[in-house]
This record gives sequence, structure tokens and C-alpha cells, in this order.
Amino acid sequence: MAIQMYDKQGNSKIVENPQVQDHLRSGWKFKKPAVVEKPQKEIQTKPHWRQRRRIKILKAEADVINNNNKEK
Amino acid sequence: MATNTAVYSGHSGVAKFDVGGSATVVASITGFGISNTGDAYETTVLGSSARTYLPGLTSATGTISLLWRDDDAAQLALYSGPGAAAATLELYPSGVTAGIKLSGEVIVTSHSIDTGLDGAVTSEVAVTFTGAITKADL
Repeated sequence: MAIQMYDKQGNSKIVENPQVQDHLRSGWKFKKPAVVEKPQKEIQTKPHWRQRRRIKILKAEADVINNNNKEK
Repeated sequence: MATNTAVYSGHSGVAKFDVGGSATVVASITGFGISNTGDAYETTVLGSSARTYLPGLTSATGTISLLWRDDDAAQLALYSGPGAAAATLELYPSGVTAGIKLSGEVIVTSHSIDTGLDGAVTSEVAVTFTGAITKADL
């Protein structure tokens, strides 16, 4: 004998007797679910921005930047 | 709760059957029964005046009578029983709050659905216990 069983998405299939208990353990039911559970979409996480470290430049040593002496 | 000291009333009986690993109440039962038997090995020899026996292996079978329901998971698990692996059957002759619980692993050997002109659709299930029946007080 065989029996029709349903998963949470409402899909059905005919299951032979020896496999029925295994299907029940896996969440299959004899009854068609009233509310069909949609398959979950891939979870999209928001991009995680790394906070930039702010470094306060106290003394400019490079020639390009350090033009204080030239002005004098 | 202690074992009943009075006579049991059959109308409180409950049966539970394995539905995916959990004992589930079977709906719309009209009756159930268990028959526990033990073999007797004959040891009579010539010259005896009366037959003698040794106790042998025990075995048990059961039946469950139902009003057929196709919306009940336990009934549908019983329907799917023939040919399937052994599953747990629990029988409570006087209900789940008083008296005893009889339980064991059973193989469903037959399941029938019977329809007639003058009555409800009924169902009959026969089981054979594999191993011993356990009796426990509730």
C-alpha cells in the first residue's frame, strides 16, 4: 500500500508503507498544509562598513606637505 | 497515580500509535483487545496417566476497531502499517489518568476499511507484538 504525503511547501508524493514513518520524522504530513510555507530566500545582509581610523597628523615631515619652513 | 482498585469502565479506553516517533492518540476508537498467549511444550511419555507440559515462548496479538477517519494522523499511520517496520503501540484500558498502560512494539499485520449500507465506515486493525508487552501503572 502507499499513501499521499505533503511537505511544508505543499509538495506531495506517494509514499510506500515502509517509508512513511521516516517521512513523518522528516516533517512530512498526511494532510495538505493549509498555509504553504514559501521556500526561504537567501538572506541578504547589509554591507558592513569598517569604521576608518582617524589619525590626527601633528607634524608633517614630508617635503610636499611640510611647506612651513619655505614660507619663512 | 495509583492503580484503580475498582472495576474499569471500557468507554474511557485510549490507544496511541507511533506517528513519526511520538505516541499519538488514535481518533474514533470503538474498541481494542490484546491476547497474550504462551506455548506449552508437551513432555508426556509413555506410561504417563496425564499429559505434562513445559512453559514455552509467549506471544501477543491485538486488534483495534475504529470508525474510519482520514483526517487523523494516527489512523493514517495505522493504515500505512502493513509492511512497515515495528512501531510503538500504547493501550490505556481505563484512560490516560487512571489504571494501567500496556505498551510494546507492534507490527501491523492487517488493516481493513469496511463500508456498508446501514452504518458508518469502520476500520479494523490487527497487530502482532514483537517482544514483550510492558504493563505500567499510571
